[in-house]
Amino acid sequence: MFRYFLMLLLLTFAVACGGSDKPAPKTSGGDSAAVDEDDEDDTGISVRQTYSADKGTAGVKGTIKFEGKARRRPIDMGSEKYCENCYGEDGPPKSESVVVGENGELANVFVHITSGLKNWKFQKGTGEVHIDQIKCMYVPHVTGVQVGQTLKIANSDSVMHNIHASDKSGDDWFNQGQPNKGDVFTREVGGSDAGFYTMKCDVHGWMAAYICVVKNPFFAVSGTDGAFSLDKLPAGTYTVEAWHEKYGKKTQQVTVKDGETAEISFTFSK
Amino acid sequence: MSHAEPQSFISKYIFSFDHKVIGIQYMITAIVMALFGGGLALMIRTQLQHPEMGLFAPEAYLSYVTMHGTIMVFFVVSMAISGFGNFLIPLQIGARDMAYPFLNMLSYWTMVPACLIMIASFFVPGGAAAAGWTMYPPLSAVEQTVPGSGIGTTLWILGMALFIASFTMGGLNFLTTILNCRTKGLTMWRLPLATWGFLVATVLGLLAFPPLTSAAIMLLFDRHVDTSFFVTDMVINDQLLNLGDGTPLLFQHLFWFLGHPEVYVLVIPPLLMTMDIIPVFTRRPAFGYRQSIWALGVISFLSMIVWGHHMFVTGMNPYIGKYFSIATVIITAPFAVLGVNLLASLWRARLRPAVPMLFALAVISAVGFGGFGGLFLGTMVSDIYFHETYFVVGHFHLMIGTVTLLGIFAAWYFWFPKMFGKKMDENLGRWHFWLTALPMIAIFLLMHLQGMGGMVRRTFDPGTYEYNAGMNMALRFPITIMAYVLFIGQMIFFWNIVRSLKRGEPAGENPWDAATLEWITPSPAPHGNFGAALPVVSCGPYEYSVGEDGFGYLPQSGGGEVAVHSPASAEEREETGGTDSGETGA
Amino acid sequence: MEKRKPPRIIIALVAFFAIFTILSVIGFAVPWRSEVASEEGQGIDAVITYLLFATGALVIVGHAILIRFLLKGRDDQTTAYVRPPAKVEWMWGVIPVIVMMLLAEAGVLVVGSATWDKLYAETPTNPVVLEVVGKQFEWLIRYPGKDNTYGAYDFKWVNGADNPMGIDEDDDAAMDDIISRGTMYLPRGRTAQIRLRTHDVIHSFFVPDFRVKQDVIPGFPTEIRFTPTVNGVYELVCTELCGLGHYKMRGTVHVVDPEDYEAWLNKRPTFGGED
Repeated sequence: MFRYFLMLLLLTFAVACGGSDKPAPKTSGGDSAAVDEDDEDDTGISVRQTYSADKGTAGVKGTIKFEGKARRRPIDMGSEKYCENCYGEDGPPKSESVVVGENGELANVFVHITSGLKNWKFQKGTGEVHIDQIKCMYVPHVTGVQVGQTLKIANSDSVMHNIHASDKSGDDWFNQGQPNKGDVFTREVGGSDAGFYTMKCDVHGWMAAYICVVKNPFFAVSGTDGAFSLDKLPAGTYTVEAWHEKYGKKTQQVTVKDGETAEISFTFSK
Repeated sequence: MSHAEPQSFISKYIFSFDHKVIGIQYMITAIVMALFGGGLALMIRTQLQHPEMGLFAPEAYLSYVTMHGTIMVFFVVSMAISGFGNFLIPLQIGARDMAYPFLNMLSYWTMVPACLIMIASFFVPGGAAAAGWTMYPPLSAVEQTVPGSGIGTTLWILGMALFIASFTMGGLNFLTTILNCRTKGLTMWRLPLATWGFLVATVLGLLAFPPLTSAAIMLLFDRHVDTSFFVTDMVINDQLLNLGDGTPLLFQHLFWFLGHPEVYVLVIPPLLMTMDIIPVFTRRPAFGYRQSIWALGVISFLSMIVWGHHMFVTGMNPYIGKYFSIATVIITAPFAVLGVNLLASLWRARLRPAVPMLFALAVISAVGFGGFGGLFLGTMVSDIYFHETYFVVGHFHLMIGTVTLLGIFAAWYFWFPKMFGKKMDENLGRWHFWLTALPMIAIFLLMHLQGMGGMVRRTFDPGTYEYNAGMNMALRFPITIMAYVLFIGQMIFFWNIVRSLKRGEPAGENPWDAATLEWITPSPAPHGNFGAALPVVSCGPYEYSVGEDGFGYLPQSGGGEVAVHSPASAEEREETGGTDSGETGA
Repeated sequence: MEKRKPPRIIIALVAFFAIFTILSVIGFAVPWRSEVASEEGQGIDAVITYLLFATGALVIVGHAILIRFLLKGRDDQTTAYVRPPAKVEWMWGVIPVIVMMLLAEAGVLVVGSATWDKLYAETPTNPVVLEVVGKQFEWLIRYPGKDNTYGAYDFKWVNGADNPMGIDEDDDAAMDDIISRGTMYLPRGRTAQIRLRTHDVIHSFFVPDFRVKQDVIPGFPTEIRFTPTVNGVYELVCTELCGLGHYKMRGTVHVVDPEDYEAWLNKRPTFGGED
């Protein structure tokens, strides 16, 4: 009898040891309808109001500038004939790492609010956020997503791309091959997915995009005019953070009253 | 060694100590795993045939390739060999059971969780391991390099650890039993070739597996405990991962130190079982019995010092490369001795073309076609071109796929009566034979041709390269068709098994008139194998064509008395050339 | 002593063996390999051709014996079988050893040795020096430029869009380096001496038309040398499983006249150049 017991023990041990040591890849989390905002100095038990659009009449807007010269090399797409053929005589586009306008306007800066919203509860984001792979480039280059929204990444090229996203510490968020035109990757973004991600195609190493997942609906990406606008903010004092893929973060404090729109600006340099 | 007769269902069929039951358990599990491994092969072939259909993701395809290899090598071929070894060894050496029956049972029940873990690895996030069955780091060590290198690879390592534990337990049993438990009169030079094969393969395996075990542990540590045996700093997604200053090549050395002897562990038992079966159906002694055994010893020794031929293009010191090449091609010499002995055993044969013999003959041909491919790969200069192409895939599938499986099928049809007391159906057996031997040899010869054209392996879509267009791509079609035909052939085999178990022709004690010890027991062999008294051996295992008319044979335990086997009438003898039991020659 | 016809199944088996042997001979006689385009490749081809003949002969002889024994086995039906003496068994043990040792080692030591030395032992004269980085899943090529010096590199500067090879932007030697994604130009007739490295997993550099191959191993830079002999555009294939895009890791090697090679180099933008 003892022998059978020993065997059973061995079996159980063997099966139980099949678990993983690495943290499981992030999956969409959160079943509750309301999501806590990511206030750094949240002191805990306070009666929070549920935010809705009619409660926010303030805003913050501004322009982001870059000081100095920024070079944009033309992208060498020589490793993929299909990609080269997508572009005609004008040649391939230029690198998107630093996109600076004639008057120093800096594009592709992700602007969001990092503190000041601790008295508010936010509903989960709704709707879809699309990133496309077209002519061997990601469009858009920087994307903001609110927790709860559905991220959809499509391959509109007739060539294999893979979407490989990882976080700041190098851990993978997802890595999937999309060999065919029309392949779509869908991901419901959950609370545990909050953070900033670099997404690249390993086959076409120049392709890079940035996905910024935040918990509240106040975020924007600056356009080629360097302009951004955060609307429907409730009155309050906020820390606004501007993040650039190469030049890092800059923050500013701003206070707004109902019906007001404050104007701030950021300047990045090498 | 001997144990009490089991009474309950569980002790008879589930947790049995009886080597025969354990052997059959191994074989049934190997068949189940073969369905998985074969299914994966069909998925691979379908993807290669129709990459435009977008059936699978590239990362999924790689996990199919990886697990197909792992499952087939370790959980089908190696397990089937363990099954036959378990079943045959005590019977062929005149023992009541293995030396360690409890350890034997433990070895099987350690294998079962290993199988379950391997299959379960498909269903974890990231999927099953996807770095190829060779699992080279850093690809297998760093999760970000391919999705299957997440939990799937950890499970793979655990499954392999259990497999190696099981193999070691089984190997200790085989070795001890063969050396210590032979019955009176059975000297080593009177041992049947099948048992010799298990002995040599076991010694090889026991010596060769430890480096793989250590490599697996080091890989596990690199993955989970931040060591850097095999991993170096790397950039993934434009991010620098500081993983250390390791040596990926160390893993390759450790892996192939096992990997090369492993292929002989896989090939030798089926080949030697074939050599054991042939004399029964030629009614002649095996040719060159001692020479074969010496050749086996030389092959085993050499196999342990030639692993570098898997690494000719890694950037090893070229002098070392030259050494490995010189040593590797020496192995063709003892292998040629085995081949010549196989052929010479057919000289002036009185052929009885029963199904086991058909498979055995196909083994000889497959060894011819497949073995010589090894020369192209063992010669360092030509290996530069063929490394990692379909030439390699064709070569190893011909050897450890075709030669082994044909040998295993020969053994299955031959010893099935002893296992279950019934004979497999001869007609269905012939269908199975043709739908197995023909497709297998065809598929893998064609792959050699793709390798000649330089087609690279583990390629999700070979159409990516223009040089593949034309013949390399065109050859996919006959290969894929043959793969499906092969699959159908195995369905016939399974049907034959089920049918024969239910209403097969009952087999007597010795349906093939064979001389070795297992054939003096009832069919199926009972608990304790040999009744009250153990047999005493008085001659070698292949004393056929003795007696006045040359139709007799000497059973090993017959005390020198010629057992005469001849058909009922001279007429029948005319027609059948000496076969009995109603088999016709047509 | 009548000759008895073998049973039909044996005849079928013999036909199977015979047909496959004939088809194999025909199959392997077909020139599957593309026209070789490098000097070292010619040596590799010579070994392959030698082995095709040697093994082909053995396969034919072996199967011929197999077929004969299968068809002829029944002659001695009525006489007793005379067992071959031990001497004969030993003779047939020694003969295959001698034959195989001669055939096999001839391939390694006689036919192949010179090519092995050429690939690894000889120092090339007037080589074309370049560096290739294999990464998931691209080939990046760098020419050292007019100063014949590579700029320093470090993994921490790797940026897929701007600086995929991680070259030091402050290093003067890097300013004239020429970077190319996936496209390599080589002058015909000069030995290419290529430094191979990677910043992720194991890859392998293989050009089927040149027949040469060399693994690219993290932490362990390697080198490959070959001398292209025929102008043309050839494909560079990754030949070591490196991830889900392994099959797409394709490069092109353009072998051109030396003047055209110089012209191409001069037209390429340099690492430090203005755009």
